Amino acid sequence: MLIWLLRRLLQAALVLLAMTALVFIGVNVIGNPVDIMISPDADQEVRQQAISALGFDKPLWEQYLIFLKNALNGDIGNSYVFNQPALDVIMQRLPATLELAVAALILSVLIGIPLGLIAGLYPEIAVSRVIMTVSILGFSLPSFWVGLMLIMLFSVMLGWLPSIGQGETVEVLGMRWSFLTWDGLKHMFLPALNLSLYKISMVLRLTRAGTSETLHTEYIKFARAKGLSPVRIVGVHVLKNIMIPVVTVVGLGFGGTIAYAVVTETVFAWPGTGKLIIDSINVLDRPVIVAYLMMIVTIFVVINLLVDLSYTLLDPRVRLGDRG
Amino acid sequence: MNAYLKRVLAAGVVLGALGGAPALAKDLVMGRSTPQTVLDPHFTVQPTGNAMATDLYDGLVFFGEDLQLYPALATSWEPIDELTWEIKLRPNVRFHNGAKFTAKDIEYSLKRAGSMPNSPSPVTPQVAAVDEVEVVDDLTVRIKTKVPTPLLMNQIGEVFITSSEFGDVDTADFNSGKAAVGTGPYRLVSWIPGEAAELEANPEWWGGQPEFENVTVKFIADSSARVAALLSKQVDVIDAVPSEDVDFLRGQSGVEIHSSPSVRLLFLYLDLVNDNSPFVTDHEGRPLDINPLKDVRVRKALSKLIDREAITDHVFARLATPAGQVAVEGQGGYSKSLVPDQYDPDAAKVLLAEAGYPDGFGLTLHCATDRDVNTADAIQAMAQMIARGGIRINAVDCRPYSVYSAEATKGEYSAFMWGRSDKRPDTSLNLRNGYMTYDIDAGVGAWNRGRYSNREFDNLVQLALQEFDTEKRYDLLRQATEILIGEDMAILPVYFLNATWATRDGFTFDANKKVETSAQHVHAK
Repeated sequence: MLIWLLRRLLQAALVLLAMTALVFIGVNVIGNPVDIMISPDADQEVRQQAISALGFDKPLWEQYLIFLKNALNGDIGNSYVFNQPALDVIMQRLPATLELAVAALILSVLIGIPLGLIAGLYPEIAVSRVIMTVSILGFSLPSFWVGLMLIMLFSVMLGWLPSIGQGETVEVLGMRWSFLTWDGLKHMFLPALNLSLYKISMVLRLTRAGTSETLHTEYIKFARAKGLSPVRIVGVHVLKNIMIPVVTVVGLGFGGTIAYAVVTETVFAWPGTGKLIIDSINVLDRPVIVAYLMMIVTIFVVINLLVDLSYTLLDPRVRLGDRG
Repeated sequence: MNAYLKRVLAAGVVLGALGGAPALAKDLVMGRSTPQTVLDPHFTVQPTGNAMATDLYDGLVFFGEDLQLYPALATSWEPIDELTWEIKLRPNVRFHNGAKFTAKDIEYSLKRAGSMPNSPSPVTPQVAAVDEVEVVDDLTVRIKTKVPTPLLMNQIGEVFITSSEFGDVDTADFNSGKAAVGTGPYRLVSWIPGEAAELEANPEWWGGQPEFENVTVKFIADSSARVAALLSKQVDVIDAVPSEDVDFLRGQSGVEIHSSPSVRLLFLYLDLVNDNSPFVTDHEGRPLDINPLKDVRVRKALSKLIDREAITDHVFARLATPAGQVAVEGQGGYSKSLVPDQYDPDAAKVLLAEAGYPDGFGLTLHCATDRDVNTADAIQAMAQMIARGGIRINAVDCRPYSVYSAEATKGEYSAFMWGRSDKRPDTSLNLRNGYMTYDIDAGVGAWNRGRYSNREFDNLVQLALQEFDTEKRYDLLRQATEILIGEDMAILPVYFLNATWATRDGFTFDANKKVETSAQHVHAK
């Protein structure tokens, strides 16, 4: 188990190293932020000063070594646009993205699993057919369009819910959270729903497929014959056995939700990291790009770890082998 | 009434008239397209750094809607010799924290603006001419310049003045609000990066009582989301209204559109230096070893092939204006005689034949996709128009600005669209940096991407740069522009973009050509 963990951590470190090298090479191919942002009133001298002050006149390998040296001391560099440490810039916005992603995850489980169970247990009734048809829309409609439709319906036409920003927030541990206030929750509802639609559909369909498969297995038949109550059969024996694919999708999808929250964040003017990374790429703000990707890689590694660990809890047959 | 007039008039009003000032009635919520990345007004010249600064801080001068200078923190300025300007400052001005504004703050701000080494877009060019700032007394400064600098006030006038009492502060101190203390009409209450900023009126502003008690600026980058926020009454004003939504919004009750031609010029750069221009071919697509774009008759023919009105009418739904020169009306250097070329394919064919290209030649057009609105559509329309004149368009190639700007500046294209916003009182710096002969040592022509070179033009701009008399300077610049465009057609000006805002019932907006979305441009109805 310990060796398995160490091996995982080593892998993560190598991924981080490769990723930073790729970012450096990629950004360098395109150019540097000075040429994109400098005032058209600047002459060659000012441009040259700016370029050398930021170190872009050094060869790429030297820039990369300087970065590595500073990174080992915990300094990823100052953003060229925000003029503050890139990690701070990310951390200011990360809570907003995290709470949105968690809210979407909760919605997907709370809505997806019950509906999937209904559709799996009673495949013939009309409600199940409606659920299955709507779920196709859930993962085929572009979230950008759905987001705008939600805004049109709930904000513009009905006027029930706000569509921009985080609303009122409460500061906990130096970070701003909106799920702790009523106003914040109202602001969060539409973006969280929009972000979760795809996941709801996925969870729903997985649950349904798992349920209809499990219902025909020997142990369910046995449980029925034994006279167990239907609630216990579904709630324990069915649910527990269909959870592994659901946990995998929800867990691994969580990293994806954070990484691809950009569309939802843009449409709802949600001050998270998604919009930040697009803006940073546009102006080649390398420290922020690097810091952001490092964070995403770390999140993915941690989630994979948690997913693997949760398998052992859900299914005693799963062992985390030393060769894994 | 125009915002600047109001400001100028208000400045003249005796402070005792405060009793008669209008009651602070309303609060204002604005939805702005540009995010704010720093509150430090000296860090960058980009709107991400200075868009909100116009409400929080003042400059020495104020640039009016006619782009000319009006007194702000400076009440008068004059050169006392070739290398020295004397500036008188406004008395009885206080910073938001109550500190008195004095000449020391000018010295401090000019110095700080020139020493931001970590900025990729420093304010340095605005203070480059300053050699020394001499504080004569509390309300007088003398500024020594390295060379005679008639444009000194135009340049240092753009620097926002912050309080010297904070001493050695960095951007983080501004972002936290600690040092974000100016003399402007609004005070900073809070700022949440990426989401919103809150301001409150500074009732002691020297320009009079600001119109709104509380102002909230929400940053909404997505244009559809901005429109939806206006329609759902979450904001009162939005900027950068997408052109496809303008007609729809006009039809909504309680929504008003405010649009004005802006200083944003889109023009076509042509490669005027390479004999083997990278994207010029003969009319069958084979490489060509002479560059037809170097012939002025070809350039004039291209200009006559572009139906500018068709582009502004159809691609931009009239939210753009045909351009025939680099200056806008009212700007120093504007020439009445330079009108946009009319679409005239017959005359163009004659010119092409005269130049030795009766069968035309081949050309690839380049543009950036994500810089200005609808550029890709406009350049496709232009490509078809040019093709109708017998020139073979090999391709229209549009790329992300980060890639495009580097390649364009390196001279890797032959004909490419570029945007420039020159909101200066006159065109002297635009002409110096954009069109004078490229010369690293002399520091001129830094952004002359087409490598235009004409000694006569250079001399006129050089004279203008040294001319202290405004009228004479404007006249020299006008002559220079008439050579640049009228005689040489060094670039093809195509259109000026409109800037467009929308307001809800109860609010109105001063559409302005500088494309500023500050609270001072909003008025309650």
